[in-house]
Amino acid sequence: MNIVVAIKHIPSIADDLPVKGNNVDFDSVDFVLNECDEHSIEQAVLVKEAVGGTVTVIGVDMIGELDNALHLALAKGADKAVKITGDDPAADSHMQAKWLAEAIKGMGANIVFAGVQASNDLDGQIGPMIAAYLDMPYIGGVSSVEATGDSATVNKEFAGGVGAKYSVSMPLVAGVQVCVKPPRYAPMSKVRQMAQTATIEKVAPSGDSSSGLVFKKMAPPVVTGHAEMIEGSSKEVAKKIVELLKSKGLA
Amino acid sequence: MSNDVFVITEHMDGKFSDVSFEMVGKAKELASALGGQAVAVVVGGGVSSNVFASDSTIHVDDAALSNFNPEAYGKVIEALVKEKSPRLVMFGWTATGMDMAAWLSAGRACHWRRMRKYRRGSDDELSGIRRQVGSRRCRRR
Amino acid sequence: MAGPIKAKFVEKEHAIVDGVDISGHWNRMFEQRVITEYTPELIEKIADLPNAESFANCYQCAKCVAVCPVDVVGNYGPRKLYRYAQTGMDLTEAPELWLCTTCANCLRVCPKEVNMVKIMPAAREEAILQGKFVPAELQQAFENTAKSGNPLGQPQRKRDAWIQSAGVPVPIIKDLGRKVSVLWYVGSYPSYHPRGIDAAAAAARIFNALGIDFAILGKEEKDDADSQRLAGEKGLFEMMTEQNIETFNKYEWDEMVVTGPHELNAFKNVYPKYGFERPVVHYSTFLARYLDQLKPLLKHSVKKKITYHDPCYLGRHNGEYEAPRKLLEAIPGVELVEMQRNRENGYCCGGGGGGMWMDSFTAKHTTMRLSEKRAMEAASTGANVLAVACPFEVSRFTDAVKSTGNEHVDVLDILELLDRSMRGEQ
Repeated sequence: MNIVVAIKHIPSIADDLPVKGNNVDFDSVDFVLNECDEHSIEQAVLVKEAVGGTVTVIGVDMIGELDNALHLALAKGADKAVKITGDDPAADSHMQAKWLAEAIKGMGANIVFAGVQASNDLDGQIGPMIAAYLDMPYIGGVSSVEATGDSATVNKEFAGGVGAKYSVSMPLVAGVQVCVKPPRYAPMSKVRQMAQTATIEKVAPSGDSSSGLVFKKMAPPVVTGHAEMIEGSSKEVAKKIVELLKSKGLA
Repeated sequence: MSNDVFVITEHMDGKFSDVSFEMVGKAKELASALGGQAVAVVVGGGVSSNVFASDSTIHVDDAALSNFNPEAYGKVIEALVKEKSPRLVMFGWTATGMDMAAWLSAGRACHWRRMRKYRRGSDDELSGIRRQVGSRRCRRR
Repeated sequence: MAGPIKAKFVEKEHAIVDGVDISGHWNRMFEQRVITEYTPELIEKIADLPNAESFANCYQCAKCVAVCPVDVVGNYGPRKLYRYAQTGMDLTEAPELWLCTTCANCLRVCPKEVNMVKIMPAAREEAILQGKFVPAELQQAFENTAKSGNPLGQPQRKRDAWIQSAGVPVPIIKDLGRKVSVLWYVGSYPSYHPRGIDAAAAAARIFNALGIDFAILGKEEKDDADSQRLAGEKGLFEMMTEQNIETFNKYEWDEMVVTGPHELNAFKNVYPKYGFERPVVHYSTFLARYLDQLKPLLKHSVKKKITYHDPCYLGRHNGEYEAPRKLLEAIPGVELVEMQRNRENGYCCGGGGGGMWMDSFTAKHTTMRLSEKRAMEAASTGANVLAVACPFEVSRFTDAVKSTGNEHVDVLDILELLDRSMRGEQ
C-alpha cells in the first residue's frame, strides 16, 4: 500500500493572532502542524501497520520551519518526508493544493490522506482539490479507514452524530476529521534521532492556482458577550445559580 | 453566465437540513439584487423536493442518488453548473457541502470560500466576512 | 493487574551451599517444606533497565508502604509493585506505573535502597519507547514542552509578560548587557499561571527592596523539564537541558536563584551530568541569608496562623527544611504551626514526577487527590494559611482547599506572605 499524507503548516492560535494589513502578521506568529493532520498521520500509520506499505508525508514549507513537523511524522512511523519549498506564508489553500497535487502525481499513491480542514481558514479545501487535480474520488469527515485489496472501507461523520460507512475504490483522497485512535506519542529521543539521520526530499513548487479572492479586511472578532463570574463560597454560588435559573424561567 | 444563484440543498432520510432553507432565503436576496433567479438544487431519489420558497427548483431524481455520495453528487452538480452557468453556487459548510464545493472549484474555476455573512458588492464582486484563525467561537452554525 | 500467576509449588528437599547441606530445623529457611516459587521474569524486566537495578533488591519488608503518600489515598506502594510483578504484572503496562510522584519518602526508610526515584523514570521511559499506554494529559504536557518550551503550552514570546504586574523593574539579562550577581530563573508556572505570576511579582518586589543585583532570562527562558524526565521523557529533558545550558552559559552571573524546587533539583543535581556546574539555590535559601536586611522591611503585621508544606523536592530531595520556616517566622504576627507529617516525613502534594499533569488519570486509581489529603491535614491544624514554596503547589492546593470544603484556608507562597508584610494588605 502506497500511502501519502498531505499536511499543512499553519499559524498557531495558542496566542492572540496578530494582524498586519489585510492578513496575518506572519512574522510574529509561530507555525504549527494542523491538528487534523496529526490525526491524518496517525490514520495513515495505522493503515500501514494493518496491511503493510509505506507512508510518505508531504507539505508546503511556508516559512522554512516544516522540518520539525516532518521529523515528528517520521518518528511516529512515516517512512519518507517531502517538503515543497513554497516559502510563502500567505500561500492559500488553492495554491497549496495545486503544488501538493503536482508533487503527489508521480508517487503512485493508493490513498492520499489530508486533514479534513485546518484551524486557520477552516475551508477544508486541500483534500477535495488534490482529488480534483489528480482525478480521484474524495471523501471527507473521515473517522476510520480500513484498506482491503483495491478498495477501502471508510466511516464518514455527519452532523448530529450520524455516521455512514462507504466503500471507496482506490486510489482515493480521504479528508480525516479524527483518527480511530488518538495520535500516538513520539518520544523526543526518536524525534531527535530522525532530525539527525533522516533526509527530507525537497521539491520546488510547480503549477499555479488562485482562489480568485482578495482579502479586503482582516480584524479580530468583535466581542459580543462576557461570561459572568459568580464569586463567593460554594453555598453562595449555588444560591446565585438557582436564582439565576429561576429568573430565566429554567427552574 | 446567468445571474442565477444556485443553492445545493442537503437532505437525509427525506428531510432537508436547516442550512438548506437558510441558504434559499439568502439566495433570494442575492438573486433579486442580481436580477436573476434563486434556484434550489435537489440531488436525490425518492425525496419530496417541493418544499423551497425559491424561484424554481431543479430536482435530479434517481434512485441511485438516494444517499449522499460525494463523487456521484459532485459529478451531477458539475454537469448542472456547466450547463446552466449560474453566477453563484451556494453549499452548506457541512459534511456534505465540504466534500463537493472545493472539489468543484478546483476543477471548474469557480471559487469556494467559507462565508458567514455575505453581501453583494459592485458588478462581479461578492464580499464575504469570514472567520480567520484566532476565533473559535463560530465554528458551526 | 494482568497476566497469569507465575507461581508453582515445589518441595525443597535440601539446600546445599558451597557443597555443604545446610538443611535442618535449626535453619528453618532451608528445612524440608513445601514452598511457593515464582518466576522472576517480570521483576528482571524492570531491574534490567539502566538505573532500575535496585527494583530487584526489595525483600518485602513494607516499610515503604507505611510512608507512601499514594497508599494513604489508595492501594499502592513500592513493595506491592515487586509483589505484583512476581504474580504476573508487567509494570510497563500497568496503571501503577503512573501513580508514583517520586516523592522519595520510601527511599528514606528503605533498608535495601530500592530507589523509586530512579526506577520509575526508567520504567516509564521503557513504556514510552515501546509505545505502551501513556496518560493523554501527560502526553499533552510533553508535546507542549517540546513545542512551546513550557508544559502549559503558552507562547514563548509571552514568557516575560508577567513582569508588567510586578510594578518594579525586572531587568532582562540580554538587555542589561553586563554581569549580574543573581540570575533569577523564574520558571514556567510563575511566568504563566495566574497564581504563579502573583508569586513571581512578589519575588521581584522583594529582590528590588533588598537591592539585589539581579536579572531574568526573559523570552530566552525555557522549562527545566525535570518532571518530564521523571515522568519518563528523558529525550525531551535532554533536549531542553542542552538548550538551557547554552542559554545559561551565554551570560555572566555569580549565582542562580530559582523559584521552584524542581528547577533546583534539575540544575543542581542533574545538570552536572551534562556539564553544567554552577551555584544554584532556591529562593528560600537565598532570602534566608538576607534575614537581617529583610526583617526591617517586614513592617506590616500578618496576623495569620500558618502551616507550611514542605515541597518534596526542596525538603527530602535537597535537604532544605529550615530556610522557609525562618522566613515565615520573620513575618510579624505570624503563628507557625506544624502538620503531623512534616520535614523529612512531609506529605506529597501529588504534583511531582509528572503527577502535575496526570490528575484525571490518578483520580481513577485513588480515593482522593494527594493535594486534597494534604489540604485536610493543613485545615486540621487550625491554620488559616497554607504556606508553600513550590510553584506547582499554589494551584494544586487552591483547588484542594475548595474541593474539601476548606475555603477558609488561604494558599499562599512564602513570597506572597513576605510581600504582604512588606507592603501591607493590598
